[in-house]
Amino acid sequence: MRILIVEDDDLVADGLNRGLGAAGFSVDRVATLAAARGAMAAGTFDLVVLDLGLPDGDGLQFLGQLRRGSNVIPILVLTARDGLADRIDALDIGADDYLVKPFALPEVVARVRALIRRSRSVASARLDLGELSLDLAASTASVMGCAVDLTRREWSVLECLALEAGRVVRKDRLLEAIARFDQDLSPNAVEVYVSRLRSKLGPKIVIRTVRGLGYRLEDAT
Amino acid sequence: MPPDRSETGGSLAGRLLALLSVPLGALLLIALLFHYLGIVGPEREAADQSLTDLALVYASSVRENELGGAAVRLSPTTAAGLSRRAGSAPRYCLRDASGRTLDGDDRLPALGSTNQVATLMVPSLGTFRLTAIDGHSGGVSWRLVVGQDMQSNRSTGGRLTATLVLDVLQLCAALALLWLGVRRGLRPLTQLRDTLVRRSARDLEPLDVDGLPVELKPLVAALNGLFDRLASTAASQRKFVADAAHQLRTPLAGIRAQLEVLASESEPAEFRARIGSVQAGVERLSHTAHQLLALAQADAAHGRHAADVHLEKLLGDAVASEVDRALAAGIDLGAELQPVSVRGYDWHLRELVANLLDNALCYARQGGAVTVRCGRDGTGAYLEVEDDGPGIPPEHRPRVVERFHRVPGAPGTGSGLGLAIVADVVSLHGGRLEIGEGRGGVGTRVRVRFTA
Repeated sequence: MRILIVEDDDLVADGLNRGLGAAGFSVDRVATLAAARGAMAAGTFDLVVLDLGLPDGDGLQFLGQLRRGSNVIPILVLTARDGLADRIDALDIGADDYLVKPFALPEVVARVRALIRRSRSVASARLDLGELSLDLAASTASVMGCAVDLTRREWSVLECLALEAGRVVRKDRLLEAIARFDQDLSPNAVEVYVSRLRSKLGPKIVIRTVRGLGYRLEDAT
Repeated sequence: MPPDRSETGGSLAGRLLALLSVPLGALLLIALLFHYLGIVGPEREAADQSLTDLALVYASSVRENELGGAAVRLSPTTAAGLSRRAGSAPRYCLRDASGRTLDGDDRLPALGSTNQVATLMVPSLGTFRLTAIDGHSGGVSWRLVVGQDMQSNRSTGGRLTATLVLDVLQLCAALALLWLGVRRGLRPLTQLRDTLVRRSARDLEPLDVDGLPVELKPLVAALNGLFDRLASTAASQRKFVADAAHQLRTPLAGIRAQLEVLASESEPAEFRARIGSVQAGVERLSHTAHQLLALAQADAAHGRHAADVHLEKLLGDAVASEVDRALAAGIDLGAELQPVSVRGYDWHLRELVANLLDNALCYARQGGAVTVRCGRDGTGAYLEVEDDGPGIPPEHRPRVVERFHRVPGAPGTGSGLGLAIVADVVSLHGGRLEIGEGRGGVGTRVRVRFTA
């Protein structure tokens, strides 16, 4: 999987290069918007890590150009600006995720992985999370190649959690996901389906409870 | 700065009062003097006229006597008329040309000239108004001095006293009215003062000039000019903060990333341990730099537009972002969130919650619990973060919000800025910060109350 890093600071770029390289990605690095445009035209990338303050302009311009050109490549924005307006601007213009410097490298790697996984799942309708695989088209799941028999509501909960693997999914969002099938849901319904999922998926797939907030499917990749 | 009581300081009302009451008092004193002269002058003229008349009566009664001298011989009718006069009896002294006393009271002095009235102190008699007449009786030429005791003008004194008392009362009444008038006249000034006293240090909006007296308008305009300059200073400070953020964050990000790569690549365990401690230092540095910027931004926040902030969403995000840290520390991190929104600044409230949660996770005991709550009760919206750590002793609670203050003996490597940021953001939102104990008297519960 190929990643383009657009970052003018050598220390940051080198750290990202090595960190993402160690995680198994192949990395190209450019330091200006002009070079980034050239690289995008010349090669195929799976994801762009984009700094906003660049010597020849604002990374948001580049982001806007890509999205106006119907390019759906996942873009992770890295920036020193952490105002709410900056964050909203970046996401509105089409960034898929946003990390504020100084970031932790493992977090960059995890976000990059999640973004690539999601964009792949849209294209291939498959989602692979280590030993857990989801066929999003057929709404089926398997653990280590063995199919797991899930009801529609259990599947909805698992799909929600898997698409956000490694992140906390709020209980009310899970409730909305299963409410499509049933109007009279008790508040405990989510807990019931999560505990059924846990027993069906086995001990290797961890769905963590965040007390009072929701659940998180641990990202085993 | 101690109050300056010199020419330029002190009370404006006092100065006005002094400046107005001194000339007013002087004017009243002059009026008093004219009153005095108006009463005393004519009285004296009349008294002098009567003294002169008296002297003429005595002079016409001087008779030559058988001893070659002369004496005053009042006819019975004249004597009776004189005895009916008010006050003490007049005194006289008749002397011949050589100054020898012929008749009367020789304690009266011999006056140098005639046809004049003079006031003289006469030993053993008192103060006298005196006049003298020269004349001849037969072969004797004489000088007659007639005096009237000043003490006899009792009625004049009484009237004078009454008039003066009235004048002084008038003066006092005038001063009292002046005082009330000055205070009333200065009311726009005291209102302006109250407005300024109530103003928050961050409110740099211009003051309303309409409806102010013309004397105050230039002063308020000057203040507004100052506010304007301060606001532009604040704006350039915000820009500085944004620039500083970029300048600090990017190299820190580079150092962190490099250290993480180094830590994963280094083979000998002792290298990894050293890199780990450098990483911890960089981590602290990043945290402190971020907090300093947060403080500066809280200071510069005023004037931005507040929006509705959903506390349950904000707290949920904060909890979600700290799940891994809580897991690593074996802390049960949870939330009890009721939907509630407040008017405020999203970024600043996120910083507030991040700092409260950071403290709670630092101080919660291993295997303990941290719980984040929000909701609305009788007094309004609130949010709180509770841990089951060692707690903050009551005597330290007022001081923990001071910048760089750390509770003595507290574990961890905090910068002492966390609660200062919290306090700043709370004051920015006009809220109240309550630092207390967790449930069952264990740990710390920090609650932020928002007033509606």
